Amino acid sequence: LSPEPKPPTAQQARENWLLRLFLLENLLTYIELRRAFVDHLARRAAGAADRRTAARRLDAACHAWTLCDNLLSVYETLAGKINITQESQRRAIQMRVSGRTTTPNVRFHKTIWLYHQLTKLPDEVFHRSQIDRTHAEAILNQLIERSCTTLRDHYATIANYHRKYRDIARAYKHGRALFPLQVTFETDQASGQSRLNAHVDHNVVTAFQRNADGTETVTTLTPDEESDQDVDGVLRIAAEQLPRLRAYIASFRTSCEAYIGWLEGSQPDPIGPGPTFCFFAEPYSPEEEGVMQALRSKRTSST
Amino acid sequence: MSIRQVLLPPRFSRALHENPNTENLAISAWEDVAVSVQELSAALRKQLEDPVDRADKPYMARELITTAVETIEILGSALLRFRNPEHRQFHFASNDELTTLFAAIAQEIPEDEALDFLRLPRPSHDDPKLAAALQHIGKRAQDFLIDFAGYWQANIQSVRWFRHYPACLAWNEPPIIDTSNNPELTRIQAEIKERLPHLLEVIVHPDERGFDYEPLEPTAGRLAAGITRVAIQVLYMISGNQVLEPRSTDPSHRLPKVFPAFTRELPAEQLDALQRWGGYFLVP
Repeated sequence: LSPEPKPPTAQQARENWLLRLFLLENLLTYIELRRAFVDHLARRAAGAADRRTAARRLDAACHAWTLCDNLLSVYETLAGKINITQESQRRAIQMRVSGRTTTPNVRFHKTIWLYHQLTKLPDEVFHRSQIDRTHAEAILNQLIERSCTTLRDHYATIANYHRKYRDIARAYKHGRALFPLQVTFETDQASGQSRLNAHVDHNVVTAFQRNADGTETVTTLTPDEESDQDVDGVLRIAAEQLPRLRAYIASFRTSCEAYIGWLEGSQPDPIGPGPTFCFFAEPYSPEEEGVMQALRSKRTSST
Repeated sequence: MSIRQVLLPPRFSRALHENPNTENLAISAWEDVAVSVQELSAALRKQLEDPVDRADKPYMARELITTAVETIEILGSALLRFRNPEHRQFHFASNDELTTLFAAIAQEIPEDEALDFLRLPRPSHDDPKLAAALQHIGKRAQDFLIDFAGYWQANIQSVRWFRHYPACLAWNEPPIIDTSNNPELTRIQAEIKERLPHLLEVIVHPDERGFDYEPLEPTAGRLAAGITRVAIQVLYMISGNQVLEPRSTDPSHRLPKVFPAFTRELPAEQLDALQRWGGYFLVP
């Protein structure tokens, strides 16, 4: 038998958990401001004309890339339970984000949103809510499954955007190394001869990236309806997820404060209100609404 | 299709960059970038100076600072290319390269190099007023580049934080974390509380040693917009002077251009000498 783990001191709880939650809450506040700013840029681009349109669309596309980068970093932080109080750990998040080449599996999203906790609720919760456990669990599983499908799609959209516009955004951020040049490279099938051509085109921006093997990747962005739609897609997801992420983290902070209060003897109960579970499974059936409402009431009564 | 990628074999990559026409096309057309950065900075400043007390003003100020730092990076990468045309990446500089470059420039940049960087040809006409005016322009260019380097050094860490992972504490959160009645923390908190009404925002970065406070002055956004405006004029000057068209009837295409940031404070006779004997086009 191993001894019961000793609870931390209130100061340890502050430094290890509350600090991280404050950092996350403020991070999400900044990301929300960034979302609003990208939204402003996107609307500004829609109202532009001629040559200005391409430049404004480029601004919107590159700032949307930063928004994606920030969101992916939050996912990595939550999924990896990373200690963001350390600079080295914060830097490592960037490596993890850029290292992912495929959309993470369902477990990734379940970990972030703690859905597995919903499948292990104590009987008492169901008794208090006066709902049948088997029936409620089936409904919860449906909600989790639908949420994970939505979250996977959201993640894929953001990660695809991040990959698609990476070279352009990187050149934009590092000294606008982007030029209104159209570079074409054609090989004549009959003669086998190749021809390189570069000319000024104010509707495009091109970034040059020389590779280690001496080849060169020439990436050209034509800011157009497709890039507008890509930005809109990212903005829609950010608008949907950020309020829930903020409510979710705020609920952890409230629970953490309650726990610290208990450690200090000012609170009778070590268990705070618990996390605010968020689903991404709209639309909800009346039955699903009923289960969610019952669980919410439980939490309210316990606080 | 909004994104298209072409992979050039090494031979064609070399041919592209060794062709002076590529540099000329790229730099001459860079004016578009200058216009869009200027427009973005102006739009941000408008939001920052909105008389309504908006909660996003500190954010806007940070975007302005980021824009200023990124504009300086345009000049940094151009200077790197100017000093070393063989530089591996075309007008692109890594963080390490910029750090080294700006550390050196913050100390010194020769006046002649600053003028050459602006693509400003020197007239052969020997006139003392013209020489004095050119010296003034050279000194201004030198000062600007040194100031830009200093500004970049002072702000790059904050900008990187803002771009990549803007996690921080609010000014009043450190005493909630550290409840040990640390007298140093109490002193700093009291000081910040007093200064707070005169600041846009105070954020706190926790580190191994404790808490690192970063106040954001209300003038920071305006200063950043000013830096961007001058940096853009340097960029316009480089772009506008990269290729001149000797046969053009438009003097702004035919003659080397000097922008107002460089001629401010010059007496009328020196301005006249620049045009008359130097053959420069003074941009109004």
